Amino acid sequence: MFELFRELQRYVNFTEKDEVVLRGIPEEVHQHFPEIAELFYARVLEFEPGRAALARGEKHVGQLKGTLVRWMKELITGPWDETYVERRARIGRVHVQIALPQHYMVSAMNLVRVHLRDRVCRALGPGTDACSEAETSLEKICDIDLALMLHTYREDLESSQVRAERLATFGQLVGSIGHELRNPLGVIETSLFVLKGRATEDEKTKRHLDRIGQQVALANDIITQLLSLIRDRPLDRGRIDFAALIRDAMSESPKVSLKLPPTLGVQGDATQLRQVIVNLTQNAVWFATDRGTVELTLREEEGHAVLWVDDSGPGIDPTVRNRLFEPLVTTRPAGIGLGLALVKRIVERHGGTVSAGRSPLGGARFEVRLPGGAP
Amino acid sequence: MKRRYLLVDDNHAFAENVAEILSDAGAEVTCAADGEGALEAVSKSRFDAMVTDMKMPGVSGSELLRRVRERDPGLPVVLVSAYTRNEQLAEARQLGLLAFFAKTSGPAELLALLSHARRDAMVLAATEDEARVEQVRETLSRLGITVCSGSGEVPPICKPRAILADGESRWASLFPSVPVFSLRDPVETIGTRLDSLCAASAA
Repeated sequence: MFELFRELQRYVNFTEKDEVVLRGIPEEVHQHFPEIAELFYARVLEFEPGRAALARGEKHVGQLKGTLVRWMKELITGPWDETYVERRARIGRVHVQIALPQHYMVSAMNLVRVHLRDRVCRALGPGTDACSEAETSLEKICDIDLALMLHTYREDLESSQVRAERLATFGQLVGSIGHELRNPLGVIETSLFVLKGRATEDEKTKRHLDRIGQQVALANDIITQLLSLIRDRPLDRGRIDFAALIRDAMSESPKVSLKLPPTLGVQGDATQLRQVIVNLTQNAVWFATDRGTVELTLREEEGHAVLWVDDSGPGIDPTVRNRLFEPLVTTRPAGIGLGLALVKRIVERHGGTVSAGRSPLGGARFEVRLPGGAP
Repeated sequence: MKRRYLLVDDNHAFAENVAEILSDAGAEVTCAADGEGALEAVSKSRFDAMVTDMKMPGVSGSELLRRVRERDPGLPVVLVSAYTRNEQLAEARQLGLLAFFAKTSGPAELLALLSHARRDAMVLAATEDEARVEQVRETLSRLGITVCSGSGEVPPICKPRAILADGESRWASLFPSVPVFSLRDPVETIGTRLDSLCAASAA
């Protein structure tokens, strides 16, 4: 990253002279930083994607404003060394991690630039040589910083491409292994059928035969989940009552409290949407543990069916937040990391979205939005 | 009379197990380890149904089905495969399957289905609506009736008892003496009509 910084300095012709000019900016300008930070976050929060990104963030807006104030101070006072670049990169990566759309970041950065220039010129006297000199140096360092921020987005894009390629290869491998495992499982299944057909009074034999059957079924389930993840099963679309589907899917989960309207219609594949409900609830129940609570809320919002799955668990582990919906990402000790990937896939194929955030219950909230509306 | 089945699978353990289960149920079973062996058996003898794997060395399950249709067009065929979805399966469906099972779905359903399989009981489903075909196939397979499906060329070796169409079908004009039923009718109604049709012609 520092190499890139050096290259950018050469490109915009940022020299020691600029460093001297920036350091010469009167300290009184610093008192305006908090107010510029306010304007910056007001701009970011003006739009839904910005709000959503900040809601996903670990840090509170107050903390972020503090970071921005420090960022402006360093921008002007330097030193413009490796630590400077490292800190910039870290801030950029936070934006990427909370999935703040790149264009919001650019327009908000521009706002900082404009206001800084204005405050600096007011301090140095508008129209003076000192003002125009400072403006030029400020432009250069702002250009460099913006380029560094954008670079972190590029880093993320490159690494997600690598991940996608790895997953494609992995998908093929999983496909063959999954299918091939069905051969031995089929043999076990049929042998079990033969053995179970032979009358036995021995309780121990019966118990173990049952256990083999259960475990074969489990193995088969895992394979089916893996395979459904890597293949495009066509949607068997129909008009379904999403509220009734949830009630039905949760009929044997008494600990999950339901806040559902009497009916709510969506267009979709009932079997696959049931899988969405079951997968999200299973996670929630696991994280909430026996002592906690899980709540499913369904409502209609602007022609969409919106489902919240809330739990009182520990919330989403920040280390996986960014990759939560990717296959093989899991924080459950016995999880294989396919549930949420499958959820995302199914929801998106229905033209909907799924996102994760904080729940008022204290744990995680998963939100599924499906196009649909009233029955 | 004992039911006679042909079982084709290159996985010996699986073939042996299924053969044992079918024999225990009172059937006579011939096993073949590959497509060539199966074709030879079909040429020599008449079976009530054939159960075949899809992925085998040499001749695949769907290719075997095509060649079997040339020799014994009325033979009910059940595909049992570890591969639940691929292009060959689509081809096999077109050529007429009584049913398709995943290898892990357990033998109970297979046993029941085979005991009802009827020879020379095929219907052509003229539609691109795969989901509808599967619904119809599920009901008809329990009655022992095989469904060939598609919308372009008529499957070359299918001799239909009836045509199921979801609108105007040019297939109907190719088989002027064959009754045409609407695919939009309830599946149960289609099943009842075909059941009596096949029963009448068998008698």
